[in-house]
Amino acid sequence: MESKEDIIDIPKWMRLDNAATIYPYTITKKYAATFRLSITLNEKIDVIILKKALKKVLKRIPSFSYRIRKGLFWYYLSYLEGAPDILEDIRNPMCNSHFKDNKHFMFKVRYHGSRIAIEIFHSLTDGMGAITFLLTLTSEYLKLKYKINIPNNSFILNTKEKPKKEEFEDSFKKVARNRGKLEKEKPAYHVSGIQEEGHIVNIITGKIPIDNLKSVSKKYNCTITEFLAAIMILSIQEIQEKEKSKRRRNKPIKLSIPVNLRPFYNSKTLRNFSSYVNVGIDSQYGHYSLEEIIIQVKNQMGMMITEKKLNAKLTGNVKIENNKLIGIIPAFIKKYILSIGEKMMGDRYCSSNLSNLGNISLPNEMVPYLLDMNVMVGRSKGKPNSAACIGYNNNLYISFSRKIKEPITEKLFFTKLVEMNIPVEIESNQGR
Amino acid sequence: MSYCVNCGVKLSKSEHKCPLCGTIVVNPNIDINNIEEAYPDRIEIHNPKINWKYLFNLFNMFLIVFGLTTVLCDLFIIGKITWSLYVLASTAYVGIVLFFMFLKNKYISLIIWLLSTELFIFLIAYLNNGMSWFLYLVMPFLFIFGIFCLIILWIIKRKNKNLIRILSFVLFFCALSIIVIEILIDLYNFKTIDLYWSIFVTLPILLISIVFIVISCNKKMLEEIKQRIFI
Repeated sequence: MESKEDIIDIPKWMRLDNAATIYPYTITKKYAATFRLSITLNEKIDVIILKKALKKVLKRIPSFSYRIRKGLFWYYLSYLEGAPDILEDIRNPMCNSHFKDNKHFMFKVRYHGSRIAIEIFHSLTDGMGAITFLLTLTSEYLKLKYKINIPNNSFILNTKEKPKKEEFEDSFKKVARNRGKLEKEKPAYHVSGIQEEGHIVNIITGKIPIDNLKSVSKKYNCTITEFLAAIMILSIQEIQEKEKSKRRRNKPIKLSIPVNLRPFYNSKTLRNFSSYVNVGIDSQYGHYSLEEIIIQVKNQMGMMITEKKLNAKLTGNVKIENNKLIGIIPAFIKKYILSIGEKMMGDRYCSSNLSNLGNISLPNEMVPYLLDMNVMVGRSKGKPNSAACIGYNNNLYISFSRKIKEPITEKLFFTKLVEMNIPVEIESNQGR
Repeated sequence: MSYCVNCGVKLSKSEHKCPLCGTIVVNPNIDINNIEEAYPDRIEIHNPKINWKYLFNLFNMFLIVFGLTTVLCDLFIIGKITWSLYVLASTAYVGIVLFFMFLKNKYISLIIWLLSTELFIFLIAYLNNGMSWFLYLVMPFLFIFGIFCLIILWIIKRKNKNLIRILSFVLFFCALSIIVIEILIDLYNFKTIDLYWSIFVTLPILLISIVFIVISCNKKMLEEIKQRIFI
């Protein structure tokens, strides 16, 4: 039973959460920090029903009905009535960052055959908020279409309930303490290649059986995320070792791995509440074997993914946002300062990234209708490629999105898995 | 279901070549034309729509208001039109040039720009008793410059674009224009033609122009240069 204190009157405007603050300042004609989640059903999508479902879900999750606006000092979120149009899917998802074309909504709902996909600008939410939105939308669609009863869980919200206060909270500010620390890092190695045009993103998705991954990870005494991260680092190391320049050969290889902060603080927010850790190897000390990389990744993740370390990092970021001197700089000047800051600090310190949304378990009533799920990250500003994965129905779907022509990292990554007797099924957006 | 013989990965039905290595997959049991692709063909490119006509009208309105205000100020303060005529002529000139700048036919835009510039400078010369410098120097200079621009435009607009050849023609006409300019200056100052400085400028330009023409005619050399200087 929900109490009145839990229910929220939808605010007309709100401040961006701490993690979301940077993203509006980094938008360019060719780039916006966007990611995409999709599910494939067992039959073609009915757009009219999907539209009805979307309207219902937006009433339950109104934190998605906001547009970004520029204030005198900071960007902020302003409430939008209505719902965005359902769009047909495209070959180059996440490349058009102009919200005006989408009635100012910061997320797009697309369909293609039996697939529903949502593209989300990171200022709105993170992977966990997005998966909750997509699965609630899918369950509502199935309820409307097949008149079935689907029980709610942490990812599927009850659309008959009212939105809750805790879903709107900026958890960063709530949990930040007095002392924060932002670690200094070395610039990381980036795989080079021929850049694609600004509106092109090359996507390669691999479908891997989780059982096979589990047994290999068990052999190496690590988790699936650690194993995948190690294979990715190993692949990048192979490319780096062929570099002619000594300076490039000696740069560290680091992967940025997002960490969901909700379990640490029991947060139920549907806005951003994740951090990241950069893990990797220092190539100047020689060649690392897979076992050595796994030890490095495992130990570094163990060291960094602790409540204290993560809190120190988030507190450091909150302190920067709360700094009055930074606050009084007008937004149009801040845009230049923060975009330079992002260039100096963001993608420069990691070779690539690997987001793992984990294994999604759904109610039994829903499983027969859902064939697969996918997650991918949009074109990076500095990094040549990014990877994201999600588990569903004993399969792991890992998608690489890259802005260079050569699929060099992906090729090494997937062939290494095949060499370990892990079957991989590949799909891409490159067409015939 | 097919496998890539090179990478060993299983390929989704919609893939007819391996996205990792480009190896073509031939599976006689699968008719790829009946299989839906993983992503549709449509590519979304953002084309911002700017209402240029509205912007120009707004700017012209601003120019008209600006020009009329100066005329009124002049009339109220001095009692007749004096300095405001310069402002009025300048705003009219900017307005006309901007209005015709985005015509589809660039030759007409260029001719209108040339004529309006001549007219604008003529007005300044007339108001300052400078008809001699206008008739013997500025008018022919502008005329030569206009012809030069028209020829370059014609070369650029040709279908077979060869950048090095275009550059050689541009340099060639530059050299010719410099000689004509010295002739005009000599005639204006000394009433005789005695070519001197233009030769020093023209000769190296002509030489470079000839080198470019030779390179542009030699396809092999052109390809070699492209290979070495691509960005």
